[in-house]
Amino acid sequence: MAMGIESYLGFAVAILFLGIYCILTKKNVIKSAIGISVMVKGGSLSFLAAGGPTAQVAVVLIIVIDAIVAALLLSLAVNVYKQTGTLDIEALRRLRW
Amino acid sequence: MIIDSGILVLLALALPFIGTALVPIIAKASKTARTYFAVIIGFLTAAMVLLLLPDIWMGSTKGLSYSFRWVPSIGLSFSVYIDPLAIMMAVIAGGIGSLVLLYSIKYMEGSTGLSRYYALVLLFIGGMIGLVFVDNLLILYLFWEVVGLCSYALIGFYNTDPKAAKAGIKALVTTRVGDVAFLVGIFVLVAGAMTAVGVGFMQALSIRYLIHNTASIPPNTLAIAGFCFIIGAIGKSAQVPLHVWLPDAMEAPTTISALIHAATMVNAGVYLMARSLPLFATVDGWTTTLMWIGGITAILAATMAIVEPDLKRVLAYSTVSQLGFMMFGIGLGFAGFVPATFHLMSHAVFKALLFLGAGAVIHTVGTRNMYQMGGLKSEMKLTYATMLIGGLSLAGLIGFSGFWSKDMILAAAFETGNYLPLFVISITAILTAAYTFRMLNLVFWGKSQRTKVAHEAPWHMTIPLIILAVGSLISWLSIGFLTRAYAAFGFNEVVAVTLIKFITETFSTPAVVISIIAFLLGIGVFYIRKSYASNSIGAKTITMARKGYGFDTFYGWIISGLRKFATKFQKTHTGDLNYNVAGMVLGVLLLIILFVVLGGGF
Repeated sequence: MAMGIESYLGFAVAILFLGIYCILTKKNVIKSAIGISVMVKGGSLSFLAAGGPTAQVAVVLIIVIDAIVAALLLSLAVNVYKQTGTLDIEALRRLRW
Repeated sequence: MIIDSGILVLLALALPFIGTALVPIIAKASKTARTYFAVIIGFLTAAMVLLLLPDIWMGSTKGLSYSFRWVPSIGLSFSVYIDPLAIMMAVIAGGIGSLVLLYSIKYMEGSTGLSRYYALVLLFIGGMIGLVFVDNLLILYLFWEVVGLCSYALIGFYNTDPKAAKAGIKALVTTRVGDVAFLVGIFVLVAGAMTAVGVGFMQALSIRYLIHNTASIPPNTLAIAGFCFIIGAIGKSAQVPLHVWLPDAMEAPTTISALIHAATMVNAGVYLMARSLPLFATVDGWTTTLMWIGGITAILAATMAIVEPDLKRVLAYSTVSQLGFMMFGIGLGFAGFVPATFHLMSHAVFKALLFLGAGAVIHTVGTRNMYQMGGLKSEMKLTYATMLIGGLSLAGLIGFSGFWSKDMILAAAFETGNYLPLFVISITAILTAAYTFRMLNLVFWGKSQRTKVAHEAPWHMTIPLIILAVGSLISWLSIGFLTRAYAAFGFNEVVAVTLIKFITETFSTPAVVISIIAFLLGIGVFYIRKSYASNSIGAKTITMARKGYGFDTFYGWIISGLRKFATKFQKTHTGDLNYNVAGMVLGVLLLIILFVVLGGGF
């Protein structure tokens, strides 16, 4: 059964919203990082749905960039833990007015 | 030509940037090597543009045009088009840039962060040459920002001094107002040009295409773009009401003031206006606006220069005033094109000379306050002699380059029948002579107010002074080449004149009488200055002018008002990640809904 582009896009949007939901509701830094990564996967999937060689190039690039972003986010998480002793994102309020 | 001009163009564009990249690396090995490397790169760049000069100024009828492929996938190529105006600007940038680098060896000796200094100066020279060479408006804007960035970073070069850092930020923010308008203008213009059938984005960005196809651009978009360009030029060239950054920019090292804030970058606005004159000349009120902005700037800045106690700030106000002269010239339309660009050239030379001379004085005296100088005539003979030449050129004594170009502007105003603006600009010419003599008097002639003995500057500093002094004496001799090259390129209403004809023509118009009387009246104003300051109205106007007519206070109000407005919304900054993301998602949803409701628009 061949699926149409709509079903791919629908699935991509679903993944995107899953990621947004995760960032919206979770207070844990690592969970937020996972949420961001999940969002990016939704984006890549929408590229693949569009098809064509350019989309493939874009997706390979996105994967590379995503890996870097994930590494950066996790290193941030480590530093948050070092600084505050907890992974709760609420602890990072020093710049709040 | 022995060397292919294509290679020369490429080298002139690439050398400064290569130098910028290599300066910090060489500095790791040896500080002295770095300094001399930067100076050598500066002189090589100057040599490249000087070698290009004869190609364009003599005999050629069409400019050098090259296209280097840059981003081929979107059809973006680095297109270069060099005409007499562009090469003149490049020679000023390269020539004065290299002299300033030579001067810097001794002047900047002992400061910290010199690798940053030399890298930025080379970057600036490259940016300036790029700015005048490119044919593509977007790439021009890129270089426009490069020189703006260098200006900001070099104003704040002494970054431990909060005053310098603040002045840098002020310059960046003030010129930003103009830059944004300029960018908007570019896009409006390009969008207008693309309404013609079969014109692509890259073609619509070409300055040469735009100038030759002005008729295909809708008049209203052309008008909007024209006024946006004026705002851009006001910001860059420090015209009223955005002139406030230039006097504060004097916190920069004097070498930077000479190069960036007198001879080159501030001329970029004038250059832009001169370049786009054929484009916007038909727009209603465009030239008139430019003429009045130039005239008002010239006279306001001159009145501020005449009361300023700080030597460098006097020169800064004088620069603003002279830039006003150039804007005024271009505002006269095609009749003022040659005078304005000619004045640009002579001003660049004598103002760089005055700044470098002021640098030599400040270097040995150790203060910028003119009331603490005096009597330097006998102690710094060479600096005095060169600065006297620069000063007389600025004041407009017959025979000096400043006289010829200023007189040309007055003559153009007279011939086009703009008598009221001519009156304003003539008053400015009087004030110019007066503040020049006041400056020379306070620094060199009057009684010494100093505590220690001054010394003549070392040869690294005096050689550029001598070269520039000779330049101030002879630069006007190039008028024959300049007008012939302009005429050969088909610039509107430019007639080639020979030197002899130029001299006889100058002395046969009534404008020359105004120039001479203005110079003499200037001396008169200089002699009555004490009695003017002692009456009550005079004293009040002097206080007002010293405060810069309240422009800074006014901008201060705007900023504090904005700050109050912003603090009202401070509470929306919860610092909570979840809320922020919710806001972002809401914004995106709103955009999507808008697109759906408006039917996509595209």
